[in-house]
Amino acid sequence: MAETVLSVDAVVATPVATKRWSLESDEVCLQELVRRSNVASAWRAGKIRRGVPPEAPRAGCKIQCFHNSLVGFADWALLDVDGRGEWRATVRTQKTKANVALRQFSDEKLDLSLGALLERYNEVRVNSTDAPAALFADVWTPWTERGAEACYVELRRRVAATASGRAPAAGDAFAASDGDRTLACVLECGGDYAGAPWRARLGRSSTGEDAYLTLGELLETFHDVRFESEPAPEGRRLPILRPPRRKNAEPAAADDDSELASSTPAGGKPVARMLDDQQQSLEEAAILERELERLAIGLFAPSPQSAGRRERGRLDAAAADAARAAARAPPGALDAPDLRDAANRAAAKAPRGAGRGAPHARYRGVGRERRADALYDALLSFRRRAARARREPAASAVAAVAAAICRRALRDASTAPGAALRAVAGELQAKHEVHLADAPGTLRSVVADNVEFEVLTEQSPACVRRGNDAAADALLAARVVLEAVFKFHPPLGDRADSTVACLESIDAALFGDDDDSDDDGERPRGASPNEVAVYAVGEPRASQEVRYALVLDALRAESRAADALVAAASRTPPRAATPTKAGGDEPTRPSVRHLRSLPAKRSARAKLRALVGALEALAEELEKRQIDSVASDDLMPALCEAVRDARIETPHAQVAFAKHFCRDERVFLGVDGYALTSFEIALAALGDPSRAPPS
Amino acid sequence: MPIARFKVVLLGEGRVGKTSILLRYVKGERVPAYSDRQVSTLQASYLDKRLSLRAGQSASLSIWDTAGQERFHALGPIYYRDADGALLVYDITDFESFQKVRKWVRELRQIVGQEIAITIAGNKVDLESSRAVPEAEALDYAASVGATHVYTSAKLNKGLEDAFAELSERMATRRNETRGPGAAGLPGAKRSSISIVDDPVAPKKKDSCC
Repeated sequence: MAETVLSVDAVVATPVATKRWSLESDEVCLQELVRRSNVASAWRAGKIRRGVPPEAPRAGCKIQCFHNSLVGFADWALLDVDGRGEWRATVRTQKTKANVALRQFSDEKLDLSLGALLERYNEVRVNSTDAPAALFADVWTPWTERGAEACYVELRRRVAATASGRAPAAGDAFAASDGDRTLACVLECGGDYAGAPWRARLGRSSTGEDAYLTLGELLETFHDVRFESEPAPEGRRLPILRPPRRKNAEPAAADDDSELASSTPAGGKPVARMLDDQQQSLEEAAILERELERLAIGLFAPSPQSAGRRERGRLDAAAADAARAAARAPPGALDAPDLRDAANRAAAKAPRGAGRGAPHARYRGVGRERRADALYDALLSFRRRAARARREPAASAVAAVAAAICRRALRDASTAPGAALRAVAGELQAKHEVHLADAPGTLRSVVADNVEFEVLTEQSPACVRRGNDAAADALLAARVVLEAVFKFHPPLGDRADSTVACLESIDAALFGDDDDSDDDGERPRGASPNEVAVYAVGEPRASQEVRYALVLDALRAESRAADALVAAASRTPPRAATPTKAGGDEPTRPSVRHLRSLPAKRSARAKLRALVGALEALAEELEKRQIDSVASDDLMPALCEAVRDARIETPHAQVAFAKHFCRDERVFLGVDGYALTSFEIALAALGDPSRAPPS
Repeated sequence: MPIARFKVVLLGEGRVGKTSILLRYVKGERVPAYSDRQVSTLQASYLDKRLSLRAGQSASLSIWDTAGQERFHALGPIYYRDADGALLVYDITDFESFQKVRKWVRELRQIVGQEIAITIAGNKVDLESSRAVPEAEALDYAASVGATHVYTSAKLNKGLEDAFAELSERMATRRNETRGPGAAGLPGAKRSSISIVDDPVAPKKKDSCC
C-alpha cells in the first residue's frame, strides 16, 4: 500500500491526539492548572524548602508557562476573568529563547482561554511572586479600581476552595495569605455591597492594632483568602497565624512547627527529598523507557511501507510519542544503572519482523541476538551527543552534534516531523484562530502573514506567493520543524552553523539522506560494529521518495521550455572523441557521471558537491589534453559538452532545487557557487542555439 | 575578528591575461617560472585568497574567472550577480580589448549599479614598447566611471598585489558604509538566510524565578 505523503495541509487536517482542554469546562481546567502547579518538580521542592505554600489560581495571579520544563525560557500569563465570569489568560512571550535571565518579552499579547493555555504549554506554574514586575501593568486592572460587586464575586471565588458554595457574610473570619505571611481578618459591614461596601478588619503584628482594608485592597494584597473554622467574635484581638517568613530562608529544621515540618512523615525523608526521588523515578520510567522503545522500533521494526495498516499506524504513533519523549530526555540519565537492562527489555519488546516484511535496511546486518547491544550503543551515542550539546552549546563541534540530534529526533520523516508540525499547527491555531477544518493552504497564508516568517518571505518570495505546490510546502515544513526543534533544543539556534546543520538534517529527513559524510566525521573512533550499523545511511522511505519527486515536479513546471531546449541540444550526437565504455553507449567520463548523478542527490549541498566534482573532473580531462592551467575560457565550452552528453532530464529543476534548499547561502560565494553558476551558464548556452558549442 | 568575504569577478576579453593575473597573484613568487605548468583542477578558474586590510581586518577574496568568449558575453550577469568587486582587464597592446572594457563597465553599472567596486587593469606593461592604448585616455576613462586604474604585468608579477589590495579596501569601505561599521566582517551579510535572530545580549542577572 502506498504511503501517505505528509504535506502541511494534511498535517493541519489531522487532529492532535492529546486531550483537548479547550473543550473542557473552566472548573476542570482549573483543577488541571492546580495539578500541574503542584506536580513534583525541583521548583516546587525549592518552594517547600523555603516554606512557601502553594498558590491557588485566582484572578490576577501570574502563571509561568513552559513548553517544556527542561527548556530555559518561560512565557508568562496573567489569569483574569472576563465580563462573563470566564477565565482568560493574557500571555506575554519571551523574545530571547536562549536565556531566561534576560527576561525580554515581546510586545505581542495572546488572549487565551484557560483550556487553550493548558494545550499550549506543557508545564504551567502559578507563581505570582517570581513574575517580572510590571509585565502586565498595561492589561491588569487592580481590584482597588474595580467595582464592589466584582470584588465580592472574586472573594466568593477565592473562598470557594474551603467552603464550596457558602457565601461570605459579615462576621466571617478568614485567613489571608500573601505568600510570605498569613494573617487573620474579619469581614465587616456586610449587607448591600453596592450601598455599604464591605471592609475587612485585619490583624497586624507590628503595631498591635488592627487595620481596615477595603475588599479591593484585601484581594489585591492577599492572593489566598479562605474561611477560618470559627467566626471571630467582635472585638477580639486577631491572632497572627504564622510569623512572617523571610524569603530564601534556609530549609526549616525538622522540629520546626511550620507547614514543612508538619508535612514531613515521622522518621521519613523530608518532603523535598521525596519529591526529588519521585521526579527521578518519573524521568527514568516515563522517558528513558519510551526512548528505548522508540529506538528499538526504529532499529528492528519492519519498514512501514511493508507493514500492514494497523501495524504501521501503531509504529507511527509510537515513534511520534517517542520522538517527543526523546527530545525531552533529561541530562544525567546516561548514568542510569539499569540502562543495560532497559535496553534488553526494549529490544525484547520490539516487534518481530517475520511475516510482516524485512527489518529496515539500515539494520539488516544486526542479528536478533545482538539487538540489545545495538540498542545500547545507539542510546549511549545519542546521550553522549545530547550531553555534549547541552554542555558546550558554543563549541566548534556543535553543528555536527546538532545534526546528530536532529537526525535522531527526526529519523522517520513520516512521523516525527509530523508530530512537530502538529504541535506548531496547534500553536498557530491558538494564535491566529485558524480552524483545523479550514481550506488547504490556510496555514501557509497565515504563516506568510506572520512576522516570524519574514525572513523566509525575503529569501524565497516566490515560494510564499505561489499557491499550493510541493516546493513551498517542503520549505515551510522544514521551517516549522526547525522552530519545533529549537523549542526542544534552544542552544542549537545560538550559532549560524548549528542552525544550518539543523536545517540540513531536517531536509534529509524530508527528502531522504544520500550523503553520509557528516556522520562519518561524527562517528567516534573505535565504534563497535553495532554502532557503525546504526550510523549507516538508510534507504529513502516511500514518503521521502514521493516528496522529493513532487518537489522536483513543481520546480520543473517552471522551466519546461528551457528544459526542452537543452534536451533538443542534447539530442545531437556526441562527439566522436567522447570516450565510451567498451561495447556500450554510455559515456564513462567522470564529469558526465557526476552530472548524471545530480537528480539522485537529495540535498542541495550534495548537488553542489556533484557540480564541483564535475568541474574538477573536467579540468583534469582538459589537462590530459595538454591544456595548461585550465581557465574559464577552456572550462566553459567543455562543460557545455559534458552537460549535453549527460542528458539530464530536469537540469533547471536541479539548479532551482539547489537554490531553494541550500541552507547556508554563504556557500554561493565560494566554489560551490562558482560551479552552480557555471552550470547555469552552460544550460543557458545550450538553450540558445546561437551560443551552443559546435558539435 | 570575523573575516569579510568578498566575491570578485575577473572580466575581460579573451587572451588579455586574466588567468595569468589570477595565478600569479595567488601563487606569487612561489611559482618557479612564469611559463611553467601552473596548477590543476579549478585553480585557474576559481581561487580563494586571504589578505589583511589596513584597518586590521582580514578579507577573503573569492575570485571568479569568467569565460571571455563572445558567446558567453551575454551571460555575464549570471557571473557577476552578488559580486562585491570586479577587476576589468585589458591588454595595453590591444586597443580593441580596451574598448571591450567600456562595454563591461556600462553593463556592470546598468545591472549591478554603483554597489560594485571596479578596478581597471592595463595588463602586459612589460610590453610597453608595443602600447596601443594611450595612458591618458585609460586614466581619464577610469576616473570618469568611478573606477581606479592600475598597470599590471603577470609576467613580471608587477602591480598585482596593489590592484587587489586597493580593490579589497574599497569593497570593505562600501560594505561598511552600506551596513555600518563592522558589517564587513559578517559572513554572508549581503544575503538573507533562514536564521533565528536573537535579541541583543543584555547584561545577565540572576534568575529568580526558579
